[in-house]
Amino acid sequence: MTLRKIERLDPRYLFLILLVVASIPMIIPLGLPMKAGALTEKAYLIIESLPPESVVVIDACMSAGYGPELQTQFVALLRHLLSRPLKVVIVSFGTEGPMLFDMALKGGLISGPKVDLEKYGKVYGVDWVYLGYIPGGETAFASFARDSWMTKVDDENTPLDELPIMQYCKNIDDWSLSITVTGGSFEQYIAQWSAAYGTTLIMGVPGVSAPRLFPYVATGQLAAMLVSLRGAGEYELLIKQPGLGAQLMDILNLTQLLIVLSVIIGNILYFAGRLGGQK
Amino acid sequence: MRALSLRDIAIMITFVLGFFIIFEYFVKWPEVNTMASNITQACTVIAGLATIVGVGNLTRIHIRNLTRRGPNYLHSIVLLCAIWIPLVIGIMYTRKTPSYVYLYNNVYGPISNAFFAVLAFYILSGAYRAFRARTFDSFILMLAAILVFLGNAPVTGNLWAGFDPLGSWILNVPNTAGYRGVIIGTAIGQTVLAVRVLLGRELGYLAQKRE
Repeated sequence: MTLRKIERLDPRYLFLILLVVASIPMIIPLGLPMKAGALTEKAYLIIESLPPESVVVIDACMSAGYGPELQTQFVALLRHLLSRPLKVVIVSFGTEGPMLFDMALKGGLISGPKVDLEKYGKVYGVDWVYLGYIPGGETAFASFARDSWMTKVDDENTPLDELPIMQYCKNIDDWSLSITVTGGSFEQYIAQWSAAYGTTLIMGVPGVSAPRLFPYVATGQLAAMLVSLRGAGEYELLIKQPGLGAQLMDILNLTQLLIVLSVIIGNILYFAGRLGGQK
Repeated sequence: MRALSLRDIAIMITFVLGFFIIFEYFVKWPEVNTMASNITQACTVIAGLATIVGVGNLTRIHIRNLTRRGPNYLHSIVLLCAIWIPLVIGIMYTRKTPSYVYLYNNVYGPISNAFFAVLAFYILSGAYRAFRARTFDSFILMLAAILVFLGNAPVTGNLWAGFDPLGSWILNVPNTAGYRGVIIGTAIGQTVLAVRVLLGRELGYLAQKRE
């Protein structure tokens, strides 16, 4: 086979190689070493440093399309929040949020093991609450910041005045920390929550969107960020509760290395072909 | 003197509410703040109602396509089922009913996942076949991509401690500098657009041409 033929390999062979490489860790877990990155560690330390009874608003705005990339981030963050003496207000500004929140509690294919609420000894309505889906996008972010009672009832239609936790959470002035795990509307969250009111904001984002958010990290408008599956895996490592994120890190490692290897091989073949006078 | 048209009224409402919300941002006046809060809440309700309009419109278009045996009318059946089956189950029995959860976890979820997962195959194909260091610029781009990729693969930190800081530097310095320009440019554009909308010069939201 000439160099040109190898260089112009049918992409289906590449697809097959990727499939095989990604499947190996599913069959034989490799347990490749990892350590927490600076941004993930910062997110962890922010939550760790919150005084007891602090109100944390966490938004489940992920979608199934992102699969475990965002869902594992949400689960890891939720586990950490529930393990601390905090008041956790959960809300969904994304249409799929309620389904994925339910999946986080029950466990699932893209979620990993269930979040065992009994293990944390938390009481619904006292220590945590789920307000359900709020439509409206950016307008809803702004509205919820002004009035966190805007839904009037929680996800189970219980009036908010019957839930003691909501006495601690009237508007954004009461929030000690806001977190959103989302695949979009990043700038809108920053504009309506952290830029407008100065509240501390942590985001869980897909790897493809992270580069555009680094300017906000530099200015402090975004306090910390969990990036892709790596962020989830690292966070699970920090809270010492390895879950699906940590399990899938082997796949991430191998596929990233495969892509780098394919760039290098592709270029070697290209230049070898040119030196051999094939082009 | 001509009578006010619907278009004029829409522009006036936009102008008054838009400026009121901007004004409210700068003042701490409970009555004004409460009124602004009510207005934004009303917007979220309207956004919710817009879903009904969207579903209604899609249904109307595809029923018409179906009854006329239009192009790809079988696709219309799939679309109508995809909209209405979960909708009816969700409204009648809530999202927690097993049949709704089953549809989400076993139909919507895997399709949605597969759609995104296909990207990985194209990235690999692109990396192998198109990412060539043909010029000095493309070499720099390729080098940056490799370093960021290696920095993102957690295991590489154990091979050489420099991968992670180098990848982070690329994201924190050159990437941030580039994106900052994009963000500032976009913000200026958005501000100009907002002013034009408030002044009635931009009428796209009324499905009319700009002035």
